[in-house]
Parts: sequence; C-alpha cells; structure tokens
Amino acid sequence: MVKRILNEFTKINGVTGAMISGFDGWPIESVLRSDINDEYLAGTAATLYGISSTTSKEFFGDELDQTLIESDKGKILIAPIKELIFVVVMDRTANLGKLRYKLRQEKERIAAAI
Amino acid sequence: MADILDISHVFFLETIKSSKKIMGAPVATGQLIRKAMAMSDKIPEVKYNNMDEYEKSVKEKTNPLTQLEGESIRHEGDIFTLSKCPFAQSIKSYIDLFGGLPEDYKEITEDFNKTSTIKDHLHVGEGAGVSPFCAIHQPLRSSVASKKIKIGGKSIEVYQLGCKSGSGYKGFAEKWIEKTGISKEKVDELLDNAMCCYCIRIKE
Repeated sequence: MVKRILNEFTKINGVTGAMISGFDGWPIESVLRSDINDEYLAGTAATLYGISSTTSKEFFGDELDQTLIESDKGKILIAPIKELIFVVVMDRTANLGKLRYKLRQEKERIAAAI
Repeated sequence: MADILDISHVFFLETIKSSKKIMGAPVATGQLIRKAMAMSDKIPEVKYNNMDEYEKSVKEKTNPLTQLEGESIRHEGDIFTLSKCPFAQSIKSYIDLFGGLPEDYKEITEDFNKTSTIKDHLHVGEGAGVSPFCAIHQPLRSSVASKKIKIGGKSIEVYQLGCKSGSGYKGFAEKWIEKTGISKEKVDELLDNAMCCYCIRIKE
C-alpha cells in the first residue's frame, strides 16, 4: 500500500522519487532512482526535519508542515506525517503546487497506510 | 600533579546536548546510532574458528570489540559483561566540571529505548539504554559484530541484555532477554558486578 502511494507521487510531472523514513533517519519504503542512496537521503531528511521542526516551534510556536530544499537543478520536499517523514525528490520541471495539493489530499491515506 | 582535563570529552557531551536542542530527541538519537554504524565500517574484518578463540582474542586485546570497549568477561551461554562503561571517563570529566549531566540527556535515553526498525535490526535499546552513550556504544558494538566478525565461518549477532548507570540503575532489554531465552534474573545478577551485559549468537 505504501509503495503504491509512493509510486503515485512519482507519476506527478517532475517527481523523480519518494520515500518514507523514520525520525531516526532510517528508510522504511522508497521509490528512488538507482543513483540515490536511500540511507543517505533518509539521514539527511531526518536532520533537516529536526532542524526545521525546532525552528518552526521556536519562531511560530507551531508544528512543522513542510521543508523545501530548492536549487536550479531540483527540489526536495520533506513533510512529517505522524512519527515518520515523507520525502519527495523532484527535478527542476516539477509542479510544486500540484505536489503540495496532492500531499495535503493524501496525508490521511499515507498516515493510515503507515 | 592533577591530570589535565581532556576538553574533547566535555565538548563531545556538549555536542550531544546541542544536537538534541537543535533537532529534537528522536532525530538526535538517530544521528548517534547512524554515526556509530558508519564508524563500524572502518573496523577491519576478523575471523575466529570458534568461541574459545574469540574469547582468547578478547583476553589478548586483539579483538575489535575489546579495542573499542575494553575487556569483556565471558559467562555461561556466551553472555559477556563489561566491568566499566567505555564512556565512564568522559562522563566523570563532565560531572567534575559541571556538577551533573545535561537534563536533555533523559529524552535521548527515553527515545533510544523506544522500538524502531534500526534498533530491531541491531538488537539494542528496548530498555537497556541508561544514558545517551548507550545510543552510541550498543549500535557500534552490534554493527561491528554483525559486519566485521565471523566465528567458524558464520556471521554473529549481538543482543543487548542490560546496562547499569553510574547511579546504579539497571536497565533491562526485556525484548532481547526473551528472544535469547536468557533469564532476567541472570542478567540482573551479572549486572551486580558489571555495567553492561550482552550475548553473542552465531547465525545459522
């Protein structure tokens, strides 16, 4: 079920991979290109989530919704769902609005699948 | 003349504290585990013909685990204990300087004792964590054992059974005690004279 949801995300234009990992930085399920190391991505995502989450609480007094890493060549979106981290890897052509809309729509389904 | 304080001991403990403050306990704990696992990759591989030969290497201090954590004592059922925590000196230096360990450490220890995929894989935590240093030491030992040590041509696994804090509190990994079929009473008894207790199983 989780794999199916991840696959659905990779069908969005520009999305090249998706992953669910733990707060401990360990990959749980992923659909990634073969040149992406899932353990490295999960570790990085957990660290970025941790820093962003603390910053969100400190500055806004609120839980983190999403974190975005953006460069000319691509983007990585990190979003906490329950006690897990949802990671989406995109190239520069990705439609971020569409992805965020889908993520908002699918959050409950992802949480249930986990 | 009094020994000079090794600042790296104190600085390392402060780094753990700030990691927890910046990233929260679950992520900081995960980082400690992952760093310990990455460190195990640098250890050279060793092979022993049997458990007695393994024990001999422990006594001769050529065993990679002994080099990392000090000499262990072998008990019946291939249970091993350590009389001293390998982080004892760092803890002492920090307490001597600041009067106690940081409050933030409690959350890291609590998180290390929670079930997770990686801790299941390494057979650590689950109540056997008594300080954040257990989140480094136990995964490091398990990771070195499973990746780098072979006995009789077979891979081995370490199961953390229990651990004792400097204050005397004993933490037991009920999950791994049950899985290995060792009695909690036995682990409790061994921890009367030790700080750390684990067993080694040869994978069939």
